[in-house]
Amino acid sequence: MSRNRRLVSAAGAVLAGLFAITACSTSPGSSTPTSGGANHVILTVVGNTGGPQPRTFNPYLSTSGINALWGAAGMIYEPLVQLDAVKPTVSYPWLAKSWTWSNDNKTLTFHLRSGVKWTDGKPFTSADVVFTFNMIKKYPALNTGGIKFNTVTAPNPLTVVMTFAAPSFTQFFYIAENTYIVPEHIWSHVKNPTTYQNPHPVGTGPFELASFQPSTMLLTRNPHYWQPGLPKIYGLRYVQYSDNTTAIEAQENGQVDWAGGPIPDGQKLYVDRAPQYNHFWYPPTGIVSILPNQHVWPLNLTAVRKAISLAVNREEIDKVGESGYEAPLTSATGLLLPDDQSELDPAYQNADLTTNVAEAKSLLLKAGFKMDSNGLMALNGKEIKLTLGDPSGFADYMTDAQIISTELKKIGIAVTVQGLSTNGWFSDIATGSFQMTLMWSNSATGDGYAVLDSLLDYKLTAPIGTSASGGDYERWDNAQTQTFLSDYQDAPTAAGRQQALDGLEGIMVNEVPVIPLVGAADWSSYSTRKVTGFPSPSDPYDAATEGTPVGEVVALHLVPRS
Amino acid sequence: MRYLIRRVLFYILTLWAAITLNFAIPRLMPGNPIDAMFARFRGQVPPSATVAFAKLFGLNHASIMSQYWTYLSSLAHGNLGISFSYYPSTTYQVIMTALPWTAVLIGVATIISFVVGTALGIMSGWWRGSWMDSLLPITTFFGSIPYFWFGLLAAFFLADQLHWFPLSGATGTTTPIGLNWSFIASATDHAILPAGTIVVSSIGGWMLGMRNMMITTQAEDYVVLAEAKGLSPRRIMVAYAARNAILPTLATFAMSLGFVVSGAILTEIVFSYPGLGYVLFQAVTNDDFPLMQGVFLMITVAVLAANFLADLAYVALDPRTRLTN
Repeated sequence: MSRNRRLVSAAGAVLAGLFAITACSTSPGSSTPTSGGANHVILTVVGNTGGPQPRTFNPYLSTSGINALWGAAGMIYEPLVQLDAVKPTVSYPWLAKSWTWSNDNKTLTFHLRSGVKWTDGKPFTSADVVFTFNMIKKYPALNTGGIKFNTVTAPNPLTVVMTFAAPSFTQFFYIAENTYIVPEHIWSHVKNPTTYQNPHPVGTGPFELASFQPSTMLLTRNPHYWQPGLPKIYGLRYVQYSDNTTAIEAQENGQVDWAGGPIPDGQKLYVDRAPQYNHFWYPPTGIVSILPNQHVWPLNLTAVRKAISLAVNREEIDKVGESGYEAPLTSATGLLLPDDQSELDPAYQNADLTTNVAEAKSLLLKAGFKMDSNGLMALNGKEIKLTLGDPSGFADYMTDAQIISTELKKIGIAVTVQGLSTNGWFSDIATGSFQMTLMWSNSATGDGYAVLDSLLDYKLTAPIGTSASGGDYERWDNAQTQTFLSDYQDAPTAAGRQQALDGLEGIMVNEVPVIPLVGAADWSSYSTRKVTGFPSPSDPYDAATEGTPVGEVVALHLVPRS
Repeated sequence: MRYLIRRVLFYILTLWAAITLNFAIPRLMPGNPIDAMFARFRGQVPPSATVAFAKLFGLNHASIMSQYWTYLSSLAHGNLGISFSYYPSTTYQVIMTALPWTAVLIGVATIISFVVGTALGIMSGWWRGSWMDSLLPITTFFGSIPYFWFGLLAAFFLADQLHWFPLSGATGTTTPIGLNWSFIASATDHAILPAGTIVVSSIGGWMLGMRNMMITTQAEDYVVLAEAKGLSPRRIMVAYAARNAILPTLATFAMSLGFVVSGAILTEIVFSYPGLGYVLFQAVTNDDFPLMQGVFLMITVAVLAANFLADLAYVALDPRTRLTN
């Protein structure tokens, strides 16, 4: 035994040696006290789970370490405007103090904040903003929002004027919040920003990189941050866990203060362990729906889609499949109520999503279907037999699918649940070779238009057999829908946009192109053992996510317990 | 010499075949990296990002032949490309982050398993019929349980229930990596369970092979002669019987050392150990062609190199292989 132990210790020594050679860790001497009064509070944060990441801090690439593993780009870099992830109509002026649209939403003017400094001491000016957006314009690989830039200019050091090839109001999120501003004096020397690893990030954000290793990193307070007296916490220690199981275990044991991702049975396993400190808040930012392939009989029939929508029990799906974390949707428009109440057409105020098996059956009978001896609805002898496929790794979706299958049986629709590999499933969805699937909508912005656009816009999809990664996987192809969508994009006024959105809501209610089920939650949980000030249902100033770019807003609200 | 040249030519051909398969296999998998990316981010990237991702990864509709030539020429320049799922990290960086963990964990486990297993095999072969024979069914039993199941049981009971070992990872999450005692202690602590399961499940194979060879060797004339000369049984066991019996086992050992770099994929998945096996699993999940190719290439080269070394060792040890007829 002792011999084996020595051998393994020798292995550890060799490992250490190898890392000393290969890993590029920054000065281990810069470790800071983890406890030392309220002024030195460091929170332990888990962003996403995954393997250790090389030192990549390029904020524009969703796969670079700072985004894919740590989810920390927003703590170092800042956008022009912060939009509330839960209520997208609420915005917080950030690097820009104010902004105005003009010229039919083809010109956008930002008035910048003065006195902002980069962490290397150089002042932040409109030249940095102009440089950033021109870089994104020049490299389509960085333009994930697909912004149609025309020109970006700076009439003076605190004003930036952007012009667009088309009305771009709907892209405000991608322009103002989803684009981190980088310093021109550093990035102008970068040969190719799409492959730049950015090992020494310099931003305007409240934190700067203090030490880095592939499996943990420390961000500490930026002493020159432009919001005086903020942040109140000293630092954020990010830790890497390779899988959710261990990350959740660490969180349940109190080793983690703030984390993304759902905790199964979180009330019992997390909150109840330290009810005075441990909390989770899972506000919805998108929706989960059944996508019915419009090229598959009988899903191309409105009556069948309506019947399915009437037959499913959304409360059951939330309670059993989603552990009560994803509240059932209530409006047939697909809007998230009450957050999107202001966007709801009063005409659909009562277009509620309800469960009514009898009415579902009578809809099918009215459409000419007859219940046959197998207990299945059939049209001219053809029975409704469908498959509902999802990745077998998405345990919640698989349970949801079983519930749906049981419920549709009651109205004479046979549904076989298929568990697939994630890649195989997505590839089937992208090429349209599926019958029904459960899937999320776009939840990047969380507003009603973005959700409906990702579900219904035929421009985002492709013919059956061709891979489409944009949206509208069910291949909803409807001229009226396209008109409403382009009307919304082009409308010069809020009233015009609302009119177009009303039209889209009507399509959802009357045609049921997709079957909305539950809200898609923004998963995050936190412990208030060291700090207070996290968002909660009673103080919902933003989502509670540690991720980007919202995490920064939350981090600035945190106050150490004295 | 002719023998060696023939072997070298053979290895070059094998390498080319492996590199070509390496290119083909990832492309035959369902899905593509962009779809995988959208699946991974579950609605957190906008629909318009499709175009950006395609541009980023340089995925164009170039013919498969021209992709193949680009691949071969960049390999020749030692360029393994940029990983898709770790973009903008290069494949080389990702592999280098993982390799030390794997090399030490799996390497040490393989060596322990070989040394202990062979020693047990020598002794149980020499003293056959003794109590040591009862070790054989026990070790083969552990070897025949599906490793995944065995590993999960070990993780569940020893780590999750009894808390004797950490459940996963390679080192404490806040332990800085470096040449210091706290890191070494933490890394060792994390390595014992995965390494232990590898040793327990593979030791039976070494023991069985060695025992059988020992029994065969004991009937050889030179062993009988040694006994007739009145040498001590210990000397006969080690210097006469075991020395000859170990030859075929050594060749197998060389090969299994080659496979060390592939990481024990199952071990690394069960214990979330951030080695090459874990990286390969991530690469497959994300349709990350460059990373898969990089890892496969590492494995191929290491196995071929180990084989070549085994060939050389044979030439040195066994005069018969030097004859050309």
